[in-house]
This record gives sequence, C-alpha cells and structure tokens, in this order.
Amino acid sequence: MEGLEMETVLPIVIAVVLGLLTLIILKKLIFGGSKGNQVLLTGLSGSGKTLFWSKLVHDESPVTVTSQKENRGSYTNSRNKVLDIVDIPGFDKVRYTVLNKYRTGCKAIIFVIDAVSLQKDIRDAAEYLYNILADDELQRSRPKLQIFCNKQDIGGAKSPRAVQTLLEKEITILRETRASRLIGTSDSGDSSNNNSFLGIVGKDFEFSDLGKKQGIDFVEGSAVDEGGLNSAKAFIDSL
Amino acid sequence: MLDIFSIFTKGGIVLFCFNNLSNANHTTQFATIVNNFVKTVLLQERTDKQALEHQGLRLQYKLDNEFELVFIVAYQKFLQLSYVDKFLDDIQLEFRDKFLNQLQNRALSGFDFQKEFQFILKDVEERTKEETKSSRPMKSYKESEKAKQKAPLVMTVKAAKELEQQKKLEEETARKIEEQKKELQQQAAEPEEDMVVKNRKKLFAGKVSKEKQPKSPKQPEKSKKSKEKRVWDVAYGGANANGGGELDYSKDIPEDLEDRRAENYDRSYVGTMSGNLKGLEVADSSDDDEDNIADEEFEEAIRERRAERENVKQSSKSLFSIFSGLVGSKTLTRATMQPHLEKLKELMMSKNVAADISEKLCESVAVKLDGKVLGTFEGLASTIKTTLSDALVQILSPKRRIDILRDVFEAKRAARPYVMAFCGVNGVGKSTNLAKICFWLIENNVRVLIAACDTFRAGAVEQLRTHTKHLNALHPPEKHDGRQMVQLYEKGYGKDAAGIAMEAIHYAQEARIDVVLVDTAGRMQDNEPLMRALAKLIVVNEPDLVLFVGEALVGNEAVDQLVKFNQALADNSTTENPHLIDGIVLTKFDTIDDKVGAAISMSYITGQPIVFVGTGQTYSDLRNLDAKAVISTLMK
Ligand SMILES: Nc1nc2c(ncn2[C@@H]2O[C@H](COP(=O)(O)OP(=O)(O)OP(=O)(O)O)[C@@H](O)[C@H]2O)c(=O)[nH]1
Ligand SMILES: Nc1nc2c(ncn2[C@@H]2O[C@H](COP(=O)(O)OP(=O)(O)O)[C@@H](O)[C@H]2O)c(=O)[nH]1
Ligand SMILES: [Mg+2]
Ligand SMILES: [Mg+2]
Repeated sequence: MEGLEMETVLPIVIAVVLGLLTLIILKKLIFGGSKGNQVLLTGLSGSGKTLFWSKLVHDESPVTVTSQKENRGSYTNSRNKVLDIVDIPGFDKVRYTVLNKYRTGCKAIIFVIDAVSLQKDIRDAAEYLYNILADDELQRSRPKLQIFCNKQDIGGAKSPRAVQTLLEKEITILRETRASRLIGTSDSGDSSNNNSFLGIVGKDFEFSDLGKKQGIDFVEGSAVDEGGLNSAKAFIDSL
Repeated sequence: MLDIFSIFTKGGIVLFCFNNLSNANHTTQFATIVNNFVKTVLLQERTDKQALEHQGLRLQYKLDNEFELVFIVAYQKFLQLSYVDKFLDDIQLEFRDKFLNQLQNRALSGFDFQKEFQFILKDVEERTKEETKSSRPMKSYKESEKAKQKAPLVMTVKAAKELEQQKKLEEETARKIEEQKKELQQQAAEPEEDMVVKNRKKLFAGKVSKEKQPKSPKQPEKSKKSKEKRVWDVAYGGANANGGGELDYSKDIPEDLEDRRAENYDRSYVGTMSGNLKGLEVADSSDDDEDNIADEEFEEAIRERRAERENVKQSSKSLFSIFSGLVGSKTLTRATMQPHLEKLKELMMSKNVAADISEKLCESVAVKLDGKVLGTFEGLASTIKTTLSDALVQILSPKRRIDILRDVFEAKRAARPYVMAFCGVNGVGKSTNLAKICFWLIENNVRVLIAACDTFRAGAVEQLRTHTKHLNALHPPEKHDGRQMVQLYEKGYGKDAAGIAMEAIHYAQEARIDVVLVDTAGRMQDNEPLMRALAKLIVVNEPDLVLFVGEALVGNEAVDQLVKFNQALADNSTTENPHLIDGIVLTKFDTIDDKVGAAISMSYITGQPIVFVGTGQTYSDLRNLDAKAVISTLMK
C-alpha cells in the first residue's frame, strides 16, 4: 500500500522540482547568470590545480590523479561575492577543448605552475601561457591574471621572481617561432588568433608590456601547506 | 592478489584507494600508474579496450558515466584473474548504492568503503581460488569424479555444515556424507558443480534417461534452480564452498541469462541465511567475536542494499517512464545508442576513416556514454554526435607540444644539428614534402642539409639535387649574409643509408648547419630486410623527429602501414624505449575533397600528431592541420 502511494506521489514531486530547475536553467540561459564570475584554474598537467581547487572550494586535500574533465564549485570571497571556480584539466589533448567552453566572459585566470619542475617544463608552460595571453576571445573580457608558483613546500622550488624571468625569456623566443608557424589547412590562415605578437616589437618580452592595468600578479604558494593558498585567496578577494 | 584498486572521479579526485604495491615508493607509483593509464587510454579514445598491460601489471577498469567515476584494478598480469569484470560490476553497484547521496552532492570525501571492498574482494578471491582448484580436475576423469563427490556437500546448507564437522570428526561424518552424496546425486537433476561439460556428458552417456538430460529445456532446469540458489548463498557468504565451480557452470550452460537472473533473485534472500554463514565464518577465520558481529551487521547492510537494488530495478522502470515522459530526460544505454552509432560509423567510413578504427571509435564513445543521464535539453543524437566529434578533436590534438622551430633553436644552442628522418611507402611524397619543409625552414632563416639516403630508387638523388638548386635560387646567399642555405649530402646509389645519414650529421655538425633532413627510400611495410634497414638507420642516428609520410588518399591500408612501421622500429630496437614514429606528414591533402578520414586513422594508430600537411606541388603548399575544420568536414 505504502509503496503504491509512493509511486504516485514521487513522480509529481519530481516533476515539480524539475519544473523549478528548468525555470532556473532557462533564466540562466537567457540572462546569462553564470557569466562574469568564473575563475579559471589553468596550468600544465601535474601542476596542482585539482588539489588547489579541492582545498579552496571544499577545504579538503584528496589524493589526485590526472583530470579528464573540469571540476567546478563555488567560492564566496571576503566581499561576499560568489565565484565559480573551474579547474581546467592540463593534459595537452583536452586542455583547449575544455578551456574553449569557458573562455567567454571569464573574470580571472589563475595560472598554476609547478615551481619545482619548471626548468624542465618551461617550454610547455610558456607555450600554454602564451596561448592564453594571445587568445582574443579569452582576453576579450579582460580577465585578471595571477601566476601561482605552486609547491613552495618542496625544497628547490623556484621563487616567483625566478619564474617570471624564465617565462619572459622563453616567451621572447616563442613569439618569434610563433610568427613563423605554418598556416592552417582550412583557409587563408588569418583566422588563427594565436599568432598575435605579445609585448613590444624589438624589445625582449616583459609581462609589464602587456598593458594590463593591474599588471600580472606573480605569487608563491602551496596547495599542501596550511595557509598556502592565502596569496591566491587575496587575489580572489580582490575580484 | 590485487595490487591496486581505486575509485576516482573524471575530475581527477581519488575517492577510494587500495594500494598493495610492494614498492617502497608506492604512493608515487600508484599515481604514475594511474596517470599513465588515464593519459594513454581514457584520454586517447581507447576506451574500446577493456584492459591494458603496463610494466607487468594488468589494468582493468569500468566507467560510471552517470556520476563520472572510474573504477580501476591493477594486478600482476600472470595471475589472469577472470573475475575482475564481475568484481568491478559488483563494486560499482555497491559503491553507488552506499554513497548515492554523497555522489549526487559531488562530495570529495567520506567514502568509507574499506569493508565493502574487502568483503567483495574476498569473495572474488575465494571464487578465483576455487576456480583454479576446480580447473585441475578437468585433466582426468577420475579427478573430476572426486570433485563431483565434494560438490553435493555444498548443495544444501546442512551439507555445508557437515563439511565443517568433517574436519573435526573425519571418519564418521565422511561416511554420512558419502551416503548423503549418493542420495543427492539421485535426487538432483545432476551434479552441476563441474564445469567440464565433456565429462558430464560422459557420465550421462552411461545412464541416459529422459528427465536427467542436462540440456533438456525448461522444466528440469527450473527444478535445479532452488538448489543452485543455496549454493550461491553459501559461496557468497565467504565460506569455503565450491562456489567457483558453480559460477563457471552457469557460464557453460546455454541458459546463461536465465541463471543470472536466478542469481540476482538469490541475493535478495542472502540475508536470511546469515546464521549459517556466521558459523562458517567463525570456523574459517580466527577473528575475535566482536569483529564478527560487526562484520555481520555490515554484511547484512550490504545484502539489504543488494536486495533493495533488485526491488528498485523492478519499480524504477515504471517510475522512470513517467519521469522521462514529463521532462524527456533519459539514461543512455547501448541499445538506444546503437542505431545512432551505426550511422556515425557509416559516416566515418564514407569519409575514408579506416573501418576498423571507425568501429573502435564508436565502441569507445559507447563506453563513455553508457549509463549517462541526459539533461532536459540534451538530445540523444546530438549528444552522441558531440561526444564523437570531441573525441575526434582529441585524437587530432597533439599530446605534447610541437614547435619544431623552437626545438631547432634549442639544438642550435647546444651546438648540434636537429635531425628529422622521413619514412613511408613508395611514391607518397617523401622527397617532395621534405623539400617543402626545407623551404619553410629556410624562410625562417634556418640552414638545412639534405641527406640523400634513398640510395635505391633511380633518380632519387637527382630529384633532391634539383630541389636543392631551386631552393638556393629562391634563397640566394646574398639574402642570408652570404651563407648557403641548403646543401645536399649525397653518396650515390647502393650504399648503406644509415652510414650516409651518420656522415651527413657529422658534416652538419662541423659546418654548423642547423637542421638535417634525412630522405629515405620508400619501402613496403611487408618487406622485412628494408624495414630492418630503416630501423637500423633510426637506431644508429637517433633523429630528433621520425616522421611518417602518408597519403591522405589512403583508406584501410593506413592501419597496416603504420602498425608495421612502428612494429619494425620496436622489434629492431635495442633499448627499452624504442624510438617509434613521432609524427605524421599527411600528403596530397588537396586531392581528397571531403574524405579527410586518413588524418584520423593515422593519428589514432600512432597516437601521434599530424605535424605537416602537404596540399599541392609547390613549395608553399605546406600547412598545419586545422583539427576543427577537419572534424567539421568529417561530421558533415
Ligand atoms: N608538495 C606538493 N605537492 C603538490 C602541491 N600541489 C599539488 N601537489 C601534488 O601534485 C600532484 C598533481 O596535482 P593535481 O592537483 O592532480 O594536478 P593537476 O594540475 O590537477 O593536473 P591535471 O589534472 O593533470 O591537469 C598531486 O600528487 C598533488 O598531490 C603542493 O603545493 N605541494
Ligand atoms: N597533389 C599533390 N601531389 C603531391 C603532394 N606531395 C607529393 N605529391 C606528388 O607525389 C608524387 C611522388 O612524390 P615523391 O616525393 O617523389 O615521393 P617519394 O617516393 O615518397 O619520395 C610526385 O609526383 C609529387 O609531385 C601533395 O601534397 N599534393
Ligand atoms: Mg587535475
Ligand atoms: Mg623520394
């Protein structure tokens, strides 16, 4: 008997709930509710984004493995602003597909760097960062950028200063080889927006040349240490 | 027995982990193994494969697409555990049931699954043991007879108890059992324990009577069921019953499905037998009492959930149909996806993707979507299509950075030439595209040495000489600070290609030339001596980049070519990590209209990117592959 009642009532309850959900989704679609409050966590695979995200959003430190999909969760900053924190997988084959889903209207980008292995990964890290900086669509909403030099709890981690120098050197080389890239198969080739030149022609690349109002924030931190995310939290609070 | 068992989200968060690796550094090793698995299987559209082998370990996995979970198991590959699939199924259901709330809320922690895992694992291990035990009797008729004698003992719980006593009071009970055995053998339709159908048939051959035919339909089968049920119960309780044999038997008989249903049905009753189970448990393990009580409660909980699961399965259909009728959300199943996948497979094949690969990709998409719940606005066809095209983009996306000019710059810094070798079958455009790449490099102020290592085909050296002349005319030394931009290193015909390449590289080093392009003779993938020669060239000279040149016109043949080229390189290598094909030059792209499938085939097989695309006969007809454009052409 009870079972029967359940079976008749439950669908109705579900229908009502779903109806409400639909309204909310529609509202989001029409008014673009999620626009403008996204903070993207980017960086190479293994740099510590997922751990960072877990710590920030859930205050937990799980064991992590390579991400295949993004993690999303909300974080309320000190000014009571709710932000949608998105952890973008770093593996080469998926990163741009996922990034493209979120590139419209994002509020800020945190580029996480494994400051221990940077020397080895510098060419990859710089290329990814370059693509982010040169992506017109991504930059249209003028997102703020923080370079989070992670894993400072490990000895031998590069300081933010050193990371900046390495990246600037590498991007100086990269923008030359970038300009010489072959065009794509599809058409004339000018559609590829990743070829735009960064910095000032005839002068070595410096982040300060990017003309970002607030400049680019290089900070140190750790997703493991107590309080290791403070520098990032301060950044998010400023959004 | 298992080295690793883990449950993690597709987002990369480990929810549960059992790590039995013996290595001192086992946490890191765990991460290495799992990350490698994710990067080589899950993120390379290889989910049609159900297992992979890696450094002596065999990895098997299961995806839960509703909650976006991955269940993974790793064990020593020589173990050949045949129960892992079943184990993963059981684990998945149990995990979903126990943590439904947390999963729906996307919680990161609180997944206390240790006991359930141990329980299900123990069960599986027991069954495996039984399996190996009972697989021995297969060899002789006599031995299988022995196994049969044991089997009836577990057919009733009573008998199972007696087995216990037998351990203590061997003689007396043995006789009893002997009697009971005979009784049971006559009662029962027949000894179902032995999986060796052959032997069973032999036995029956002796006493053919209508009602005892093993494969007689329906009725005798059903009368057996009640007995089977109990066997299952005992086995499931972790007793030392001959459960292994039973289970395999169910695989042997034709009414496989029927039996599985019976099995499920049984489970809802498992709880009612706990008294007996306890007895066996106590005797079996030397745990203290408290533990056992706790264990029992816990086991009961598992059983309850199992029973619930069965009930829900029955009622959920009706509930679900109302549900989906209202909002149009539905769970994807193989059956509903099949027609769509079939169509997409046809589409891919019509665009010249190799048949084999179209099939694998569709299978991979099916695995990735099976069980996923569609949202209100998501259509079935469009979801499948989007998933496939995302998968295709992923295949064409390089798995690592490719920036040849950057790497040339790095080599220059290290005062050594950057070496690229071109290989492929005959007439695909190796020499022509080598010349185009040379042109592109010169345009970027890089000095090139062409090594004429095609010492086989008449005219090959002259062809390169002509190219060199033309290129130097286009980029005369005056335009480049008096440096000659391209030179040809040739030693005529018939000489050893590997040797010429080596000399060329030395020459380039001396003359401070930035890049060496090694042209090789075209060879068919089945020509072993020539394939070995190519492998030697690569082993000896260690080029920075080994490029496979292939025509965009190629269809199913692409698979064979690439597999065999890679195989030859692997077979003839002396190192642990053989240098295989690093990238692909896709030629004659201008001749194929919308049949762009070869790009997919080639990237898929090698897992390597298409580095250059040749689009015509002039020096400037060289392009980057535009993955998105290719996919949209393909999916049209
Ligand atoms: N010592 C130390 N280890 C860290 C830190 N941050 C992350 N890790 C570890 O680095 C490894 C990779 O971290 P993840 O968060 O999974 O990396 P990810 O950036 O999400 O990588 P993808 O998902 O592949 O893009 C994990 O083993 C983390 O535990 C840190 O600040 N210090
Ligand atoms: N249409 C077209 N023809 C090409 C392309 N690349 C090479 N070819 C032609 O293919 C033929 C074989 O080229 P060749 O370089 O001698 O092949 P090899 O034997 O592999 O070195 C020549 O006639 C080339 O002009 C291309 O991208 N497009
Ligand atoms: Mg991650
Ligand atoms: Mg040739």
